Amino acid sequence: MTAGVYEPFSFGADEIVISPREYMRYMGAGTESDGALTALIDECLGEVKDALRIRGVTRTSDVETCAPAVRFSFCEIESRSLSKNLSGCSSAVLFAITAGAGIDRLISKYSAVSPSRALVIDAVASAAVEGAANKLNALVKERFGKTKPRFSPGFGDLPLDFQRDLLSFTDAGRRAGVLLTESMMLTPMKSTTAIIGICEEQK
Amino acid sequence: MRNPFFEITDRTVVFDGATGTLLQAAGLRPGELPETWALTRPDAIREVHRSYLEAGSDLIATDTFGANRLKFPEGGEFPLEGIVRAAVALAREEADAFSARTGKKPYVALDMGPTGRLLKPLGDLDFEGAVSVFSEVAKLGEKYGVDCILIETLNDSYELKAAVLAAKESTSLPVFATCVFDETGRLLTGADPLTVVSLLEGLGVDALGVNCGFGPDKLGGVVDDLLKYSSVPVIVKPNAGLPAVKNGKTEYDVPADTFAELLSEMVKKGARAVGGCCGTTPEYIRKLASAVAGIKPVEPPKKEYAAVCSGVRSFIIGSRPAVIGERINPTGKKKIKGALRAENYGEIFDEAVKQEERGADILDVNAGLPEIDEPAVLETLVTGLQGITSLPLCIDTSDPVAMERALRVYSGKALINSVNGKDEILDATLPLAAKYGGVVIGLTLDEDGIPDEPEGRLAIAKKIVERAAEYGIEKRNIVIDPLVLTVSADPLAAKRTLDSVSLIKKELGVAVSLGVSNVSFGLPGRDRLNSVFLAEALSRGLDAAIANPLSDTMMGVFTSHAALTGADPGFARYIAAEDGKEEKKAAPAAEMTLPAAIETGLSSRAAELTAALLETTPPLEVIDKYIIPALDRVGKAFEEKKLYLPQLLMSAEAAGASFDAVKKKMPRDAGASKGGIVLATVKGDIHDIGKNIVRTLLENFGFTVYDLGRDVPPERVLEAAIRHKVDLVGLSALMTTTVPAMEETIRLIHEKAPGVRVVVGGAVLTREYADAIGADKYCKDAMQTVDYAKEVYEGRRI
Repeated sequence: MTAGVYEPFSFGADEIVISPREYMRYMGAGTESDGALTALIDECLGEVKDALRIRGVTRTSDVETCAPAVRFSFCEIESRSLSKNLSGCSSAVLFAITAGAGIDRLISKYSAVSPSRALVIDAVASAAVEGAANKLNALVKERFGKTKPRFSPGFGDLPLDFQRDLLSFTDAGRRAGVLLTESMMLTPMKSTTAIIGICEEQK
Repeated sequence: MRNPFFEITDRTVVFDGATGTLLQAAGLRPGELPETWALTRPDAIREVHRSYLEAGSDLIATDTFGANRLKFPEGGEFPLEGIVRAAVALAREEADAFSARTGKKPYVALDMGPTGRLLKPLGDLDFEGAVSVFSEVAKLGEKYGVDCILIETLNDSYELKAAVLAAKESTSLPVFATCVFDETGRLLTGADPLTVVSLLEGLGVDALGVNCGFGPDKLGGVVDDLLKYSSVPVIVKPNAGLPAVKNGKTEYDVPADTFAELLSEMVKKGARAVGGCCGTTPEYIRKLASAVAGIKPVEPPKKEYAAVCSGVRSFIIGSRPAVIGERINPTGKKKIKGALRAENYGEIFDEAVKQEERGADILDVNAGLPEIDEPAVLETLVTGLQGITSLPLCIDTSDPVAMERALRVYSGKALINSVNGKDEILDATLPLAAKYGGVVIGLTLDEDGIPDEPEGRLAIAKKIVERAAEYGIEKRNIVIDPLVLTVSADPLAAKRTLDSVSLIKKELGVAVSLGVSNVSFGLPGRDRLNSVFLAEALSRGLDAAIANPLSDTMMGVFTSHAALTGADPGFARYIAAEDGKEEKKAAPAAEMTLPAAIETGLSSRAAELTAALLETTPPLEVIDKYIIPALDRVGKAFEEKKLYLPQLLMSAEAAGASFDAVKKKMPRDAGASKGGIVLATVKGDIHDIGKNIVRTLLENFGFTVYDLGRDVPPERVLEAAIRHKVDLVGLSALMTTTVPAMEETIRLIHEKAPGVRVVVGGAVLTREYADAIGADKYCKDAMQTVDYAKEVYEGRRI
């Protein structure tokens, strides 16, 4: 089985879509905002865009599925849901992506002085990470053709522990600054990882 | 112990190239730890060292990049000490064999890479935890006989500090440190080259530089900046560009010839050592060594500037008059005193953010209150503040123990406030500045007090500079404060101080700072007196003033002075400051009632309306008739899903602003607390947004909240619950992985503090889950928590 090389990347704030639907949902704001909230969101969007430093890294791995096991070039993992997700794939792109440490600092700052602003910035930043992952997903599709929906550790029965293998395989600490805490949380906080299966017939 | 930069002075020092790249070619699998090969595949490691030595490396790094306790825990498959011992032996034996063959004497460096964990507050690793991880490896390296230590591939300035401090304090070896800068010229956690240089030189590294990240084609700007700021040798070890797979083979996009050529250019500009990182091979090093062989090295010129820095950004002393924000200081400030006593630092963080927003360049931090544990509080405060603000800090204490603890955990290079001409003080504080770095403020007073005449103050300033030099602290890292006395006590006091500023700048050539506010003590119109005095001092060349950034008059002097002396290109700062004022004045005075302002969540409007209302209405009536009913309506609307979380929080904050305005008018402690609640995000969990929302609501519904922050161990929650005599503890957890910590905390509280109830919340929790771990109550949102708190306290008191 073979593995590709690590490929670091970065996106500018204006290269990604920060979906209002997503951040409204993250902040628990219903669907419509009123005047004061709209003004706050606008300010926060500006602050988040200034603080964003989206960086990530991808690496491809060969994949064999043999339910409930999935064999990558760097490890084997038992997960029925991932096995189902990757069925028909012989390779997958694994990635880690982060909005950067500056966003975490912005959130801590406002947590101390204005929790409403912290809440909105947190939500907008989460939407930004989502937007960055969408953008990457689109690039992967462009390059490899048809892909499976992206799948992250913690989805279905894929254990959270898989983060460790994924981050080590993509060398995400060194290449993008994405690390794990002892309790398997990604740091910086606004980071995500996933696996994108590449559909066989397209290869 | 050998330092190549002392011994190789007639040519460029050549480091080695990538280890991982060669080991992968030799069969290292993805995910396999390369350090284990020192034990399992020693021949492959020997081959790596031998091939680099033969290619022309003067220095080889041991196969210990990831060899630390976090990756190789005790009792694991591979013993850490065994790995380090074997790795050092392999490098040493190859170096000796090479030496026997060629007569050259290559250096063996202990390689130390990052821990693999992010430090608090961004991550979960304690600063001291990181220091001890690095210390252990550094000591082993020294024990088994390396010549020097190479810390490399760090991309966080705080971890960098931990690594260098560990290497320096636990060994006597030369220490070199190189970091990963990205194409924007910063570390992943944000520090720019100036900040990295200030931090590292402060800690006393013997050489510094850049490695990994990108190829030499993208690092030119970073190397230029490092050379511009560094007084110690600069090391450049880039990748061979970026990898790509071609015909099934991995190739990097900067070929060996180009690599050598680009690095030669950097050597001509002043880089003293070169080598390679990811993707480089002995071929790269061979070409590199021959390309740089004929270039005569440039000694890095000593630099004259001094900067203070946080973990992210720097301020060069003297680049413009610095505003050192004075407001985090309990002297004469009831609010700060209260916050320090209650260990409730929200008020202090608030002051930090306000001062930053109003244009402070550096923040003074003073926690000197007789009845508190100053070293512990100052340490906590500095740790907290560096998560809130990116401004450099000025650590202000007369207690050397507190000073050391604060300097140690500080993620940057601080302004040290202060020493004076007393030998006892100099001997206690200068060693700290020498060890941790810093720019030292020296007050011109000694055992005999403050000399009246400027000449006397100059003499003490000279003494301070000389004594500092004995500790290796350069003059550029000293700022003299010739001290301001009150004019009301002595009409010549201000003049003498101003003359001292001129004299000391002229005779000694050091930067000068003053705490200005003292001058007007005891007189009316203090702001005006202070500002005229400041303007006078600035015209004499004052470099920094400890002042109140919230005073428009004072800040106006700084911005006007810069605008009038050509120090504000395009009047950018001046205009920005004036624009801010116009906006405030021009805010439309539309009709709005206080309850409406609270319900729409307009904090500043709510504060204004409250102040206006207080002209005609007694404070308690404002609370009972206006604020509380508005807040209750908002709470009800939230429960009925007529409005949502952000609006609820905005209203709570507006109510908070309104309460603050009322409190100013109230006799002290009227409107007593409804009860105390300890809040914490449990151990292992670093997400605290939900807990912060709960805190805001509880506070604005009249409860006193003791917020312990995030990643809080069970014992600390228990200790706080007992000390603050609360009936209720609130715990938050976001992920399933931290629920066990929550369960343990609940168990401990129920066991050791029976009667204290525990309410839990957080993304992963459900009522069933909460029951299963023994919580007294599960609340699905912040409003429910407020209701439960009311139930606990009102129920119990009736």
